[in-house]
Amino acid sequence: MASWSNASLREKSGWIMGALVAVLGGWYFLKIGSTAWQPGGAVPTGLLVRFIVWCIVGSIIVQAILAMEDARAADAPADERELQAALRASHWSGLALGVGAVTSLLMFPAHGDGVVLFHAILASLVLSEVVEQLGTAWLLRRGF
Amino acid sequence: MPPPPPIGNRVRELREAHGNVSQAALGEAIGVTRQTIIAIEQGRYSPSLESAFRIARFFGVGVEDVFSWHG
Repeated sequence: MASWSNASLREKSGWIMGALVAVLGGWYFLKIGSTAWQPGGAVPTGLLVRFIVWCIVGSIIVQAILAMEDARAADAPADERELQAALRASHWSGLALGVGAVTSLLMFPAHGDGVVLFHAILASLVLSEVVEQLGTAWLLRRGF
Repeated sequence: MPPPPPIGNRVRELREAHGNVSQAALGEAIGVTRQTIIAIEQGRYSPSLESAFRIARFFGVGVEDVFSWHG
């Protein structure tokens, strides 16, 4: 098994970005707690903006550090193996988002609350992003 | 671990026979990353037909001299 120092830039990016989105998504949903799933609540705009800003800032910092570590690899386009891994992980990610979004919509008539629907779809989006990033890294590491 | 593809190769052997060409240099010559060359050598990845021809041309041999079917 390849060690971290031998991992390609895209594999490192996948592990770190997947962990980052998982941690920030977890932080957001832990912060709002069970109110996210109770009808009649409001979207915590300030918290949501902080979540989005931290995702963007975190991504920029991670990509900048990885690019500084290996500028040549950062400039190079993905090769055939990396593209295949990304495509396969993107397929899994699409399935996760699709199942999450459809389930959220199917449950909407039961509660009829837009905020609950919003949080259910946001959770699906976070999950699909985590699946895509970690899936790409996992495929690049273990082979496929 | 997924089952390895039924394709063997002599990439490492050919690299060593051609003046110990590095994995990075071979990868750069054929347009893939060093990690992809490592995956090919370890049998974890079967390259595209185009990359297989590029590898064979790099070493000045035929594709069948680099890759073999083990199915």
